Amino acid sequence: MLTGLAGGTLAGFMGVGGGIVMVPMLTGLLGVGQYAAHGTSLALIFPIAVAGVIPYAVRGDVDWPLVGTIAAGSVVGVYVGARAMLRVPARQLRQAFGVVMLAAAARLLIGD
Amino acid sequence: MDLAIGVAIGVVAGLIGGMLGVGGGITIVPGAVIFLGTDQATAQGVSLAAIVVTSAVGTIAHYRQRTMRAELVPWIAPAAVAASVVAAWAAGLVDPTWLRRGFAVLLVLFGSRMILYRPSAERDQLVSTE
Repeated sequence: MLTGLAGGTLAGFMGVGGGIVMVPMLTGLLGVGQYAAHGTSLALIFPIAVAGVIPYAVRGDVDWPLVGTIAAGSVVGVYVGARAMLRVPARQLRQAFGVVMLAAAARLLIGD
Repeated sequence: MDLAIGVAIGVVAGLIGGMLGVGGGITIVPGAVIFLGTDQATAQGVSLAAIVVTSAVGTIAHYRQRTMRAELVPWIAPAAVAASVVAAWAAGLVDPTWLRRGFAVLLVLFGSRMILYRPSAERDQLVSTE
């Protein structure tokens, strides 16, 4: 529940999916294994993104043809990425995630 | 040309998302703003809509290869959705500058720990035995 609250709060405030806080909370608080934490996080992002996109769609802030273009690439990428994860040692996976967290921090400080 | 750039942004976002379990918004929003000239609000809307599709496909992929604790999702998801709706509403009421800085500090702390952390070996097993 706490993981969801933290992830959802960040997602709502910043317009991101929230995975950046959910993966560490899943491993740290709930003791989920490293690989399963990444997969579980993705499953949690889905309902957050569905709820999050509604106000943008209502305001007309969604360029649907662009969504189609990006999604065409991302569905291939996400499938390949999920498969590739199995070949990456857990320690390297964690380090890569740490780097993405630092990148996200930099983006928050710089602003949009 | 824009079509190729859009697909490329999607591929990169998907790879990062599928491998690390994040939505990929960190790639899509700046990618669309910088390379396609999309305005900020539209970029965020497009990012969330693309993440709906990406996370659905990614969830199926992780479920099938058993790198997911599906039983946890019904416990966490409602709190996450509720919090994101309340936060999206509250975001308009407070000055986000210090909020951003606070989150950034937390991310630096936990990100550094993530890079340095060495847990017990069984936690790093490929498929959960729980």
